[in-house]
Amino acid sequence: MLAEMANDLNDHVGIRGRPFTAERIVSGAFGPDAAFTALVAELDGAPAGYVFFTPGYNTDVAAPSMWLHDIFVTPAARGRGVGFALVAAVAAETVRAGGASLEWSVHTDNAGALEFYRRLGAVTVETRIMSVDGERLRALAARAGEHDSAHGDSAPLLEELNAGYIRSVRTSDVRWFEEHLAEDFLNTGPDGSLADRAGFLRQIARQGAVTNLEAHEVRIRLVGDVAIIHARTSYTRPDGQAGAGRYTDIWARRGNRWLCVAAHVTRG
Amino acid sequence: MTAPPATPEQWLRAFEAAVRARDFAAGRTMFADDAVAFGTWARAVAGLDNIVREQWQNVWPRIRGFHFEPGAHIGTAGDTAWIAGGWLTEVTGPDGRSFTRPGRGTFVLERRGGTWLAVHSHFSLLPSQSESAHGRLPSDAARR
Repeated sequence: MLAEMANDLNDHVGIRGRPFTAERIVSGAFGPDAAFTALVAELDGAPAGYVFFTPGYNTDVAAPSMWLHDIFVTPAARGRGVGFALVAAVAAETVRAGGASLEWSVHTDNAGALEFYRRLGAVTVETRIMSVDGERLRALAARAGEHDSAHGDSAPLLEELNAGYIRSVRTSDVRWFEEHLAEDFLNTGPDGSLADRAGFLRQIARQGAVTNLEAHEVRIRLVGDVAIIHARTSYTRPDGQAGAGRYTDIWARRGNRWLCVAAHVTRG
Repeated sequence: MTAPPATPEQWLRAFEAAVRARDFAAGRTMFADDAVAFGTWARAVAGLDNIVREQWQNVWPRIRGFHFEPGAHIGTAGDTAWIAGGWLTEVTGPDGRSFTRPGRGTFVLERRGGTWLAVHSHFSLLPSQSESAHGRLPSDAARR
């Protein structure tokens, strides 16, 4: 019944898969290495809801705390004080254990839950919970001790990548672009062409129409795991006249590498 | 009150609508204060106030029917997104005739406080389009 309710809660918040089984509940809450404590509420002799919680530590105040993993009330029992009773019971356990705070997360689109928590006196702490799991968790664990080349010193690396990009346009260096363009790369060319990665590599393989291409006033802006590199350009046209333009390159951090995902080139 | 665009694609549709309606107030809500714009009128402008004054106010009143062509590329990485594609507008040439003016556009968006905002835009005209292809203002036509 507890596994059923925990899976129903996952369904309610849009998490698919119904991962809980009776064995996992026994192992997680009642085994020798129990990871959390479970409390079950009963109403009229039937299970009406549950909470899972775990002792933690609040580093904001340097004191023990309690983390509420789950709270769930069955649809038939809602509006009858079961949720309040469950949270109050966990609050009592938190105080008994010397905890300074009781904390939990809530899906931001769960308006009913947010209203209920406000009535309990809870306030929103503006943080966003991040999660890495499955294959990505194992990949991250395998990189323990590695230097994060993409973020540790992003600006010098991106400056180098930008210089490589300009140099490789000048020299038609297809191999450099093969190494640094994302699979979903899209180039907006000065002739108005929209070229995917393969099309752009073919363009690069042909000698460009301009020479002496230089970038000036290069500006690199980091926006999360994306970098915007934009600059003014000077070059010599096929007729020998001086030309000027601008470009925007968009780079995305993927794994431990920066790859160029889009470029937009304007030439006057 | 209209809800802010929930996705980059919705952002693009809302921006198209703001341009078509010449709704500068709506456009302002969709760009970050520190945005940078490479435009077809102003070459490079930093800061939203400058973008509105130097680019949008010189272009939006002269164009009609602004929209991106179907299939604009949209990429995302967490709270950042980029959009690239071709766009079309209708303008009135010096001879008073309407024609369709194609161009290309790239945006970088960042989700700040749950709202997608453009932090960079890059617009260009196709080489076949001269700068005069921005077209006349309606007031220009009235004076003829």
